Amino acid sequence: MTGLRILREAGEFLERHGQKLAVPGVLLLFVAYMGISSPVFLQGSNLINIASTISPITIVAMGMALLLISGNFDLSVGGVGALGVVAGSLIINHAGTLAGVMALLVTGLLCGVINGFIVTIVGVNSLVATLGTGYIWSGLAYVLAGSSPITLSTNDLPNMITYAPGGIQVSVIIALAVIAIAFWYSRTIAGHSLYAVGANREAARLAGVPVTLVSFIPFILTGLFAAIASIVTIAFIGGGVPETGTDWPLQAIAAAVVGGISITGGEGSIFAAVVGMALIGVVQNGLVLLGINSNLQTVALGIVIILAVAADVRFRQRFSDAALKRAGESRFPTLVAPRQQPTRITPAGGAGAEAPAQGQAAHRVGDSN
Amino acid sequence: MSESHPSLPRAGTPPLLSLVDVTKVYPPRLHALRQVDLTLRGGEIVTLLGANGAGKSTLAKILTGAETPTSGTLRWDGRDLQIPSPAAAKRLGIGIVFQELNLLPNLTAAENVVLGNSPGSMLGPFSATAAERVYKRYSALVPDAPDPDTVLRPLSVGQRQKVAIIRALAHQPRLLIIDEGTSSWNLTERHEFQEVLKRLAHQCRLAVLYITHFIDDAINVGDRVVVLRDGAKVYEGETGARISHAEIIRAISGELPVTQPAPSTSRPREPSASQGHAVPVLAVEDLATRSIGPLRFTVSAGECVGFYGYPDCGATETLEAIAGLIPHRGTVRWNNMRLKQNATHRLRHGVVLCSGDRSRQAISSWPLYLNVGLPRLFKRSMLLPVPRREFVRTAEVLVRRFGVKGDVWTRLAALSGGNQQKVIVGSALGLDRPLLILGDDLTRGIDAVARSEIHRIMKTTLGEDVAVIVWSTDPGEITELCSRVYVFAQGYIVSELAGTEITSDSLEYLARTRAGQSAAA
Repeated sequence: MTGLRILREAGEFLERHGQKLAVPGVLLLFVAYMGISSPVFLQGSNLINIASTISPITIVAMGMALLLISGNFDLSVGGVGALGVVAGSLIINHAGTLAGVMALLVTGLLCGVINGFIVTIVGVNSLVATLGTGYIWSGLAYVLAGSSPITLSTNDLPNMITYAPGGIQVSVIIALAVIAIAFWYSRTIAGHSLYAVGANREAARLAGVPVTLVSFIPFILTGLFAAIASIVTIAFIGGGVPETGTDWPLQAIAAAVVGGISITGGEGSIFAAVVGMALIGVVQNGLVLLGINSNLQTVALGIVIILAVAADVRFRQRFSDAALKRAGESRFPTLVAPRQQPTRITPAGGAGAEAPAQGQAAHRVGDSN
Repeated sequence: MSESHPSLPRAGTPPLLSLVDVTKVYPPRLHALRQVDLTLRGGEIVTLLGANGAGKSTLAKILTGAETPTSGTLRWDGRDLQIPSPAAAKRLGIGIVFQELNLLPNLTAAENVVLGNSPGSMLGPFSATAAERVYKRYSALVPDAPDPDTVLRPLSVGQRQKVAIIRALAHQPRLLIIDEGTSSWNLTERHEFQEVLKRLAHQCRLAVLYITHFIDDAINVGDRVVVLRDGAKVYEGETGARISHAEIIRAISGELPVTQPAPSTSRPREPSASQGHAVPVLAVEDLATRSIGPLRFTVSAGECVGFYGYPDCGATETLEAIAGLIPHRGTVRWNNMRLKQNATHRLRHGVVLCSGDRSRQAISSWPLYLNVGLPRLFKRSMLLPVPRREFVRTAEVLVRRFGVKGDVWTRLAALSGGNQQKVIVGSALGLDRPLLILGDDLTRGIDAVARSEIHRIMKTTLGEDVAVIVWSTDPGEITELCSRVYVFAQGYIVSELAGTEITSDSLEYLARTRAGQSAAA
């Protein structure tokens, strides 16, 4: 009996959550394939390597995921990254590591506040607004950097970020912390309202959701997270170049979308964005291990992104079709009330034409019960 | 059982469309249609009645390819076929006007009508004059249609419904389905259109499926009346034969004994009791927006005040201004406190707007319990977790109390329009007291049974701490619920009625004459 119950509960769980499992499935398949074809892939050091490589983008993607759910974009995260690494490196060199890190976090917050202000209060479309501010931030980064890259004069920050207690780098721990923050936020009332605002802004407004405030906060978080990502990046490259972050916005959006976050808002989860990020990281790493020409790797990555999203779309569709079919076979026969016989006052001609069909219908109900 | 009627296009006419044994199940366990048989003939108007969730809209969706039946067959012109998509339905010549209109508010009336049906070739330039020509040809069939170059966004629901009907007619359908498509029109407009529809049907051999909640309309326009209950066909009768209201109501409601709505004697309280020494809890002074006022009125505790007028009379804007949803001049005092111009602030103090426009009021992709929770979210600090369990419990109570068909996990989109409306109204009623409920055409598209249920619950909610303003275009609703009425026209209050002065006739008369006067002035 208990075995049956476990089976049934597993079945019901699948029915409720099954449609979210396509991308995790693709991820597992790819990991399994790589594990078989490359002996190095599943080694701890390689997995940690993957984790630390994707940690800056993961941090950015967490903010982007919250924004996408609320129906907005932030294309300026790359600009924040560029400005962050350049200004951060300069301040670290002139005023010390702690001051640099603090200044960087404040810069990120400010950038987020400016984006949020332009989008939610002035009312400019987020795609356009953040495209503009992104140009401004990265332009400022070029102005500050001049023509040459900036090299850190102390190694405090790189040492700190790449320090690996128990084999796990601090950068990965930071990424995990950001994931935890984003996950927690998505579960609060404020985070839940992101879904409401993303799905039906007007309904949220009528229900008393403070729409402006709710859509403002993810911009701040995204700016802050982009600043944290640029701290990690400074440590990784030992300084700052204004070209940093060019592909951050699209990679972060790709991760979120691959994971199943709707580009039009209102759907998806932080878990989904993490899975999407992991898939991208694993594929990038796997292609290197398989020795694929580095120029082709970008092509392959694009293909994988499309395949993952296509699998997700088809899987969801198939799943709802299957559920429909099962329900059609009346899995819950007790809920099918016997059909009432129509009260007929149609004249003889009409009733004669339709009566046989009625009779058959009544028989069929009787048979199935 | 009854005699046949000679003038009707009955047995001799081959059916245009027959449904045989059609069943539709929404997973996991919602049986929307149970083995329904239905025949539609060219030149014949069939009206479809039924309570909320009886399956009327599902049937319409199946006929237009928006949904496919779980089992059963469709026969069109004597051939078995499937209607896999709305495009396929359109090719067959099936036109529809849905209850939830799918028009583009950023385009003009004429552009909406020719959308997907352009007079020129697809790659040719868009011709506004050709579009207007098409529009004018068909808008002549609809009473008081908006001008072709009117952008839809500011139009009322009633006006938009007209555009939707013109669009359906412009596709020259062989079968026209009107799913609550005229629910926001006033009585005169409905009758006028019904005459047009009868003429069209009989002249052009057009088959019409007219879905409505108004039993009078059903009998007036239909050649045949069909009633669905719980997804099954429970009644079919010709209007030429002797047909009784009581019989139809019994068929709609099942065994439930239902009193007919709108006897004015069931008014909640006599005006003398509520007006004499009652303290106003809501005091509105010099309220004005771009299109209304300035207005001045009060509502007392335990009072249900009606706003009556035609669509576009300014009552909707007034309610939205009171709810803080649109900026306004003037002051709104609630329980002696001047309310800030902020919807969240007003909601926290119990000022709730319930709208009949469901797309504005609920998130259809969310399950029922989360929709019930939506207006309750910001009653606590926004960094706390979402109290899902509490929402589920609240929703379960609501489902039981209102007899909503579906459980708390059902996606709202899977419920019928009327059941969605019960959820929306119900979730507002259960909010904190003191409470001011602003009902914005609340029972639009709701059947008589559900409507009287909602009325009953609103009446029982009225108490010392609760006040209600109901805006309706239906005089019957106002006379039943309200002890005092403000009549609106052209953005102003043109008259105030109380007690026995409130009758359907007086309301209709005032609204019409005053609307005419203000327009002339």
